[in-house]
Amino acid sequence: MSERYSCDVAIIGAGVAGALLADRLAEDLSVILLEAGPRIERGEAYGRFLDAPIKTPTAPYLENDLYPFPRLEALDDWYVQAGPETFAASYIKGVGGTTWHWLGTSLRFVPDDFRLKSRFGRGLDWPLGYDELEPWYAEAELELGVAGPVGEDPISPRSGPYPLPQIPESFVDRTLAKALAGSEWADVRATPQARNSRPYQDRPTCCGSASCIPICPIGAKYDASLHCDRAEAKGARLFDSAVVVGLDTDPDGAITEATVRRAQGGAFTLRAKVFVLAAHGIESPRLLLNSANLGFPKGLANGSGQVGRNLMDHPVQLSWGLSPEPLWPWRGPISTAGIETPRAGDFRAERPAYRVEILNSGWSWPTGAPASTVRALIAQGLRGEALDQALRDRTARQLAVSSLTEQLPNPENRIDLDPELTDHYGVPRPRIHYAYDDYTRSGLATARESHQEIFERLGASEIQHGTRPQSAQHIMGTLRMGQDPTSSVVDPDLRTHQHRNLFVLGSAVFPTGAVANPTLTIAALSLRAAEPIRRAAA
Amino acid sequence: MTIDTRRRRLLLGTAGAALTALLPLPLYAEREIGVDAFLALSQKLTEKPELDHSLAAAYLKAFKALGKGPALADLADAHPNAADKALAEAVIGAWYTGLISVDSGLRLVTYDDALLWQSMDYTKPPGFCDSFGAWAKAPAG
Repeated sequence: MSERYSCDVAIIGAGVAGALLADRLAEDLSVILLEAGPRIERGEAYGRFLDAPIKTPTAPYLENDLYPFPRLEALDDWYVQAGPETFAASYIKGVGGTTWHWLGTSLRFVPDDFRLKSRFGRGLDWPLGYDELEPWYAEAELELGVAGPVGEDPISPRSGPYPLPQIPESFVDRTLAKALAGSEWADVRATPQARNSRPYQDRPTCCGSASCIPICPIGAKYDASLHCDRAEAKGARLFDSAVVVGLDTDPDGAITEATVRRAQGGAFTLRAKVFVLAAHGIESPRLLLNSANLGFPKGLANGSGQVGRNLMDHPVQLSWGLSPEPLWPWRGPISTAGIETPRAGDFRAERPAYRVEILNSGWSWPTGAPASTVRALIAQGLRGEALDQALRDRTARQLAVSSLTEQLPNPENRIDLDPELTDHYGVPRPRIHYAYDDYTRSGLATARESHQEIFERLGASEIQHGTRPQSAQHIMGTLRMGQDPTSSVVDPDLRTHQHRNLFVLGSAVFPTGAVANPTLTIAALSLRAAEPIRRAAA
Repeated sequence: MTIDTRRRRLLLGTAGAALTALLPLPLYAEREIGVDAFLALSQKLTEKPELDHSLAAAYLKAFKALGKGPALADLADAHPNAADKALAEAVIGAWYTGLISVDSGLRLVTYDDALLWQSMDYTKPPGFCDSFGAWAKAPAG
């Protein structure tokens, strides 16, 4: 091993968390950003999207032995599923991380999300509260370019307006809102989203490509390649295709160096004053467990035994039906509004919060429409003009909604190292243990009942409810934050309890998952951690 | 940033051609079908007089890679055959979706030239630009 590098701060993972931190620190510290995946060129990824028979979230991104991740078409080529349920949340590897295929939804948590235990006797409290995070939410909204509605938010108090005017609600949203007027579901609200409603950060205005997942063709939707580029412009050094396979410690427990393998061959070591692990909810615990040594036989940062545990997603109830009148979906961003009311309330002692996301993509998620729609019409014997008209009519009336539910932390839901299977670099593949508890199941059932009522108010026919929970693609909880070193992995500054120069960023640190899409909270926590990390590197 | 927004993207995979090359030579002349005959068959089945010749060639190539050439020839000659209905629907389905079912799943022949996007004339295939905010209103016309 000949190559050696050193820096003040080494960041492992160039997704939104690592990129924001690198951008914050690069002006006055030497920063090296290591990304296991390749650089992603938008035109190339867009070409793979066009060529893919099924446009899954992971379809545009290069996956192979050198860059392994759970492709949605073949999750188990990467995950070793120990059951009983299949864990179906994916992520990608590449500069910019999984923000390449996120929807852009940028919701804040609500205050009670941080105190689930003390308010409702469920899960546990976060070691910090909404008020403490509020200014960082505001900064995160500036960094990501969040477009949101004017005025006060009824469940997540705001100190100021969104940086960008809201994205207009779709015709789908507007039609549904009319049907729900006067009901319990009347508060259909424009979704705050990191998507340009006007040019911002040298990125263009959204053109309504309706392909936010899996890829925005023009970069109107924020992705973290932006902050990677900025950090590099400020002097940070970014190594792509650089896979960290282990971290070493000195006798005092400080991290001394990272061993890095290059995808194209070769290796190097990296020394740093501070190491920051920002490789998302599967890869971060995997690296800590794989770095076990004589001093830390259970893996690094694992004095509590919680590394890899408390894996959470937002199990999704999908429902769909046919509107009596055209809704004209398949236009605009994939979701532009939701019903936020069931995210907050005293019921959370009994059953989970959930959030109803209104989809502008017809039945594409639940059934694979419009291809499935036309196949069914062909099988009915329709041809020519009659087929064209029926296809137009049916697709124009398709509505689907998805409710994201809260899943409580459970130490038995976890990622650990498979005892036999390894990847190209000799690192054990992630093995996933995953189940749903009764609390989650009651949330899914409540969401189903709500969906039935919503569809009935619209006068919909052919109402159907998914029989199995879907994944929201939100990986959380596997390196939880807390004050107590015996029950958590990192402290509120996101420093590991056991290693003074090792920090963790990302949704892995969430003690509980709430129901808001996690990215904005990841960003807020990462920006907040920048000062403690800077001090640690001084 | 270079983005290919050509409306016509034909993806003629090489896997099918390679497979065909490996097949043993038939002992007798199998009934086969040419592009013109397949185009005429497709026009009859879809009831659409204006189908694209080069797309027909691409679909036919994909069907032939699956060994469907003789059955398509039968279909074109209106030979009675139990598989006809399924194959006829597969041909129509291919034109509408741009996809053909193969053992490994689905094979894409074209994305944006699939006929369903012509039927769904109120929008365009995902991945192609519309204009900002157009989705807030019912489509014109």
